[in-house]
Amino acid sequence: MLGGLVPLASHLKSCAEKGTSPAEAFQPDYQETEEFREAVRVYFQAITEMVNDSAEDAESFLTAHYALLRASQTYEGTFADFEGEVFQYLWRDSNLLYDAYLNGRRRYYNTELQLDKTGESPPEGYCFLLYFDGEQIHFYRDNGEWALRGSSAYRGGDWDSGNSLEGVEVVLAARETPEPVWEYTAASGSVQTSVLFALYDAHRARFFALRLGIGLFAAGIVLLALSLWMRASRRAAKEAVRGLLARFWWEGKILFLAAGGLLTVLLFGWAAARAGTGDAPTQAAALWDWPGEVRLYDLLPAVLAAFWLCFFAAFDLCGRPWRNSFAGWFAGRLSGGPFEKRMRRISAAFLAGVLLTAVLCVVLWEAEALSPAIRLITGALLGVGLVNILYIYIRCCRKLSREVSALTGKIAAIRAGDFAGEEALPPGAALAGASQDLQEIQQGFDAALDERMKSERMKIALIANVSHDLKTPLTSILSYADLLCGEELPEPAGDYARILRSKALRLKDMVQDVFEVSKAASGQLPVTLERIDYGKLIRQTLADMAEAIEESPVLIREQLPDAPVLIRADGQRLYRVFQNLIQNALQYSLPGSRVYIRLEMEEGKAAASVKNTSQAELKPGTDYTERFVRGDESRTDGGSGLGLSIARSFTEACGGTLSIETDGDRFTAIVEFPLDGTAS
Amino acid sequence: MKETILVVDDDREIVRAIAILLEKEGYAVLRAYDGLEALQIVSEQDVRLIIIDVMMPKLDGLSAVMRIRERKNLPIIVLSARSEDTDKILGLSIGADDYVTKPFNPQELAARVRSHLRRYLSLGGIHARRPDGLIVNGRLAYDPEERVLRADGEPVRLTATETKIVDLLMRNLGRVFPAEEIYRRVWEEEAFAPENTVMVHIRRIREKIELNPRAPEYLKVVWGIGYKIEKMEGNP
Repeated sequence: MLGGLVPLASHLKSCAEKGTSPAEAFQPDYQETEEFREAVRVYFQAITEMVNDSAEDAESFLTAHYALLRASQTYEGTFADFEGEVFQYLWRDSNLLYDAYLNGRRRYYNTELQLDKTGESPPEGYCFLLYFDGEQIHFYRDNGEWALRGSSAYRGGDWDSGNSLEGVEVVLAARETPEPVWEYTAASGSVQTSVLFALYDAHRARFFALRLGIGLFAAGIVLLALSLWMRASRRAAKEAVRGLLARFWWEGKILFLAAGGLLTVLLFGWAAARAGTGDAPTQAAALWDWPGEVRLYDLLPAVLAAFWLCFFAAFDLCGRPWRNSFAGWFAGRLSGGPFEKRMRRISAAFLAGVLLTAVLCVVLWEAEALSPAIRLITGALLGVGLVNILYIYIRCCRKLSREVSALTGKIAAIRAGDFAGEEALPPGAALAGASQDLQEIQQGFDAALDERMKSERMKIALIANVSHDLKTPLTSILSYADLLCGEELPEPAGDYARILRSKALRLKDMVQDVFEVSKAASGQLPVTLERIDYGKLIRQTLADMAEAIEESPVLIREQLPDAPVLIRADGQRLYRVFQNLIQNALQYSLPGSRVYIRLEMEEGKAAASVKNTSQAELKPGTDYTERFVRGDESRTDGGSGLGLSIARSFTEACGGTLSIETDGDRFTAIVEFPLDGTAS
Repeated sequence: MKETILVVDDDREIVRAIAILLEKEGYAVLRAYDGLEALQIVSEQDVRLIIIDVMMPKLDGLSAVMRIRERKNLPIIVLSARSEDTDKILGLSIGADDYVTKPFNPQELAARVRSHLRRYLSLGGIHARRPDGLIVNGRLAYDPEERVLRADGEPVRLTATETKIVDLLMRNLGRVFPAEEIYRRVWEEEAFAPENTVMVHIRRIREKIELNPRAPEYLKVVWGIGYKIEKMEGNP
């Protein structure tokens, strides 16, 4: 809209300067304009006076001609220069042909052709004819004499030369479409000298510019109205436009932007030069050798193009412009994982940007026609662009690296057992896919852990309940088995009764064991830690089991230090542990072999070991402390296989460790505790 | 004399088994199968001791014990499948005198019945004329001057060594003595492996004074440290 107003304004201004009517500009045919008529009049007068040898009027003609030339911006030199060259100009200007006769003799002419006075056959390309027969002026246009529109303008005033001129005949022909006439002068180089062409050109440009301007103005008004009316959807429209723009590769955008920028810079240069001299330069000064004059009208399309390019660029920059890159698209086509692809795309885009900038720099370097100032400014802009690209690249890389580190942090958290966190990356991130996968893994772990814990708890509760339920009938069995044994029974009933009772007692022990194991496994074992003498405890246990040791087929060899070996443990529980270990040794050893019991101290730890030779073959690789694992799988008497499991639970509840080593037939149980070093 | 014992449990077979056991010992046994029945019998008959189960319908064992304790002072033994310490403490604090877990050793149960009855009947009498200096600890009573130990009122036959050990431990109720010290004081010399010797004697003492020698209540091992006689609740 603004662009439309500018030509109108300048036109009005120039009209105001020259005093011509503004409406004239809307005349499509330049030959109908006042300026044309004025030029023709001047020429006509000049030629008639030349023929008449009215020397004193030659002066005025020259002045008028000079004024005309200046006004049409064709001539820049001084009047003095012009004087010397004026006739040459006139003579060479083929846009206006003249034939002047005096008393029938051809005196002045600038063409070999004899112009037809009747106007019936003007020369090719000439559509305007003026014939003065000494008294009257005839106008011909397009092969017919008719009253020219506004031919009253050709009457009166300056057209009346007052007296008729005897014997003078002048024929003037004007070209329909004037052509430029080039002259080379030492002073100003190549110059266009035809006034008519200048007039025609100016008129045409003005006409075009005005039409354009009015059109733009109207369009601008309409758009303004639309934008006000559809104000609500402006934001959506903006987004839509941005979305559309975002789809284009930014390499292309940069090139367009470069073009637009260059254009703008050039225009500014031209405008600055113009403002500097204050006058219309005949050459586009300080820019380059532009043949001919460069007017704002001519530049209007360029200005509009530049304006819209810059506008769209700015619009684009407000959003997130540089997403789609040709180089990136190409790089993305190569195979690889999503992360790889993304890195490659970013790097490719960066490289493309640097290359482009380099290319533009080279272009700039080569364009010597441009002034240093322009090149410096453009170079600076390119530099800024380069820095910007660099910055964007670094930012992209940092963003990616932050995402990666968030992901690795999440992985570490999951490994450490934290299953409760939230997603590492927001949905818009590049690696969002990986983050989602990780989240699902974490949830899977969490669920699996819950399941496991639930089933563990159920198991323990089940064991406890069942063992309670078992105790009731077991009580009856034991009571009656005992009563049965108390009766005097004939054999073999008595024997049966004794067997029943012994098995019932064993069953009772097993149920007790199961109950203990479940308590130990669920961690419900209350433990009171005290400072005790490890060696003393083992000795007490051995003394307590003295009878059983006496009756067993094995010998005990003990190696216990006399000096106190202090540890922190629950004495009652630890006694149970060693009772179990020694019991096992007594029960499962090869008859006649020895059981070695040792207590050693090293590196701040006290390790007690019970070593025996197994009667049954030991399978390597079995974990004897697992529940229900027995040394001899086939044995049906003896323990339930829970003893070592309970022993380990007790040991660990006190803060120690129980381990089993087997070597061939040798079975060693090692119970280790850290030494309690605090002085009493 | 036939003391009357009341046995209460919702499991009829167990009641029958216990009844047979006690009748063999010479007691008269009354039977009940829930708390209400127990209360009724106690109010109607002259019962000397009650063996009562915890889990019963209509009125559970512990509530019944509380009700009985409102009016009667007789010894009550609680029978239960629950073996947690908390259950034991609860039972004893409600008013029971003893807590036996199922499945139980019948001999032990019989021994406890005997012990409680003896204390109720005879020790109650001794209470009246307790001489000064007598160390009373639960079932045990030790006269330091005469150097006689009585369990449930009955004197216990101890050897000289055993008496010395008991003397040391009863004079220092609850204190733990390492085997070396016991040996030194009793045998008056240093020992090479005192645990074995001391343990032998302790075992013998247990046989004589404990209701169940394999599960001693009084003469206990403090593992890793030494030996003691447990100080019972209610003793100063």
